[in-house]
Amino acid sequence: MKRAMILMLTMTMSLLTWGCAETPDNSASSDNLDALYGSSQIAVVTPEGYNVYDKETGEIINDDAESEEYAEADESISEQSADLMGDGTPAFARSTDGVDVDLTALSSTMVYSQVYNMMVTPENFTGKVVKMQGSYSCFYDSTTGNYYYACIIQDATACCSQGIEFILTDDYKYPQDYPTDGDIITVQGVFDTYYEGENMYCTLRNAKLL
Amino acid sequence: MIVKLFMYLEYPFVRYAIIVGVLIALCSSLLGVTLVLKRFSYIGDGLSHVAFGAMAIATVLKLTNQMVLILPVTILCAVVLLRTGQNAKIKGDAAIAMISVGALAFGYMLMNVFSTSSNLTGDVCSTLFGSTSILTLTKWEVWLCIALSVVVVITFALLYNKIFAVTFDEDFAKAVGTNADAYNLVIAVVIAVIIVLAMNLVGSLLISALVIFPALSAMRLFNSFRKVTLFSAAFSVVCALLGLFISILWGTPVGSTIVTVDVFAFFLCWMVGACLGGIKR
Amino acid sequence: MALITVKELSLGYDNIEIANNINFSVSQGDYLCIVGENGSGKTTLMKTLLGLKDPLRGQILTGDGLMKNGIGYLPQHTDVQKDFPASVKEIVLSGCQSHCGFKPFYSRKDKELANENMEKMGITHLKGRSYRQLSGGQQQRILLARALCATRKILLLDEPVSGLDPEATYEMYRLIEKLNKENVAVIMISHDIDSALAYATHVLHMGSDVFFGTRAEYLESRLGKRYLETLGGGEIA
Repeated sequence: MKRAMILMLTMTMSLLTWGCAETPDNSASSDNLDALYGSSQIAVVTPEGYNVYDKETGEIINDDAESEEYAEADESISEQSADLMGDGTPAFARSTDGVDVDLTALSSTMVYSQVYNMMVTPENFTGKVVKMQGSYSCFYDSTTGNYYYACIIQDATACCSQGIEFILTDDYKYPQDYPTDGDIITVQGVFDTYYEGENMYCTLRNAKLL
Repeated sequence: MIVKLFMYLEYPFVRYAIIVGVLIALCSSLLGVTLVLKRFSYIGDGLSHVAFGAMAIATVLKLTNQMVLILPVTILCAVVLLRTGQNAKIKGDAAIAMISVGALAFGYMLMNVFSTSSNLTGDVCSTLFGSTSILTLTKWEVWLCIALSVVVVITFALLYNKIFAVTFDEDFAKAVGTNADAYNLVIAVVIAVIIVLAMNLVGSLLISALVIFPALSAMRLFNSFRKVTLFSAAFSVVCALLGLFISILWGTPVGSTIVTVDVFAFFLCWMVGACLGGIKR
Repeated sequence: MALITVKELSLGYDNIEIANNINFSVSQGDYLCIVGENGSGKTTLMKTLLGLKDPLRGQILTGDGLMKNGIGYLPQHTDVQKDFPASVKEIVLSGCQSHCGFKPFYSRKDKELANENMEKMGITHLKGRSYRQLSGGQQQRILLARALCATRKILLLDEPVSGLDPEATYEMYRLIEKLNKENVAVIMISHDIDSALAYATHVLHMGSDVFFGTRAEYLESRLGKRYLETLGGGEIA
């Protein structure tokens, strides 16, 4: 009995130590990428669009690559691109073709939790390209006189929902290019925060509908 | 699928969920054996409703740290319900029902009348069913849970023999001079703590499952108190992990998934127990 | 000095008196049988002696070095135990709780004591078995072994042979007798008046009239005779 309890306690301690170890959310490592994708190509986000380089030769292979090919991209891509390009391109100026945080690849439980995390610790996600799928909702706030567009997701029991606001690029004209309330949409944009009065809100800038 | 799972494990909130889930499952199963044998299986439900009521009051009072109110209130109710020991068995179920339903109704009414949140139904639903609360824990909450779980496990390990004596035959224990009342009190406090923590994992309505199923499954298969306790702990941890993984991979609500896994595993244990010709030695 | 002396004890629940004017004493090596009709307060008396209930009036004095944790008790079966997953060894060991105090684990001495008592009760071969699968007689012997772990001086037994078949009953009495011969005082509540009187040294009769005295005195007394008549008991040796 004593031994079993001690064994259980030790296992529990090891589990805790492993779990609570600090994982930098922005860890960048190409080893990660190789392990996951085994690819010899790498996509790099640039202000103009994105380019696909061959890792060994460094040559551009294809600069109109569809973003769908890289839909499973890990967050470290953005870090790598930042290292390579070395520019501090602000979020609203960034192109949204390479995806850093792809919520469409996660199960609904994970999506809900991840969105919650984004709301709670927005600093970890600012500047990242986020792709998500949910239902469209449009809200007009008479106090500010603005329209707000959001992509709403629900948790597994469908009793709780949360959403992220998005701001479509000027290519979209309201109301003909905008979807109808309740439509399922996929939106991709750059995560950013802004202040309205005292409150901080999160939004996806330069968003486009897929 | 394994690859996807490992990818999910890279998210910190998933790791926190696993740690907390495992600890809560472990603690609740340990005390579950005692509760089931004392015929207090429904106490989980009763106390969790009280905790819900306390949470409602804390929300209305706009307390930033709700634990400050929830824990003491729940502990107090646990003491009142459990402390009277064996003699309370007669009044036990009625008392639990009264307090449980009253707290639930009171809590919900408070939250409605003083609506402080835009998504009231959502908050209530999330507390009652625990759909994703385990995946949205802050680091502080994780550390609190770890600390409390360690305390519970150590307390249980140290008081194991006394808990056995008091559960098996309280009269005898008292007759030979064991302070059964004090140990009943300790058990009550520990249960209250576990239930407040477990609300995060499976939500208020499903807590009883975490307490009952591991103990009952173990009792189908094993005969000595020690083996029953150890197996029920292992059973609970495995089912909680399995439930968590399934819900993360397939997008089902966390609480219900864990309980479903518990139910299936219980039937499995029952059949194994029956097939082995009664009870394994 | 007697182990237990009871003076002018009055028992009851919620201020309702069910028995009063109880006086008796038990010394080392005595074998006291408590008899009486149902509802006369026998079990209540035992519980009061053990401190599980408070008396309405009167005193209970302990002497001769008897401490609270030096009393062995064999209670009647409870519901909880019928389905309880516990091995025989665990149950017998739990009797050692009385002298554990705050220590969380049993010492080797405790385990040896438990083994010794299991040996005495003839249940060593059942050590690893589950309590709930055993027969009534075996269960009683296990509980008796447990009671022995708690005491060397005095045993309180509440209807130890109820529900047992004749052979198990005889076994039980034989074991208790053996313990009594080893100078353990015995206080036993029993409905089985014949057998009880066969072994007892003293008798306490509860009811509207309370009698306490040696067995011989009881058999001579008015109460004793009347009780035996109503039970249709034969000659007692």
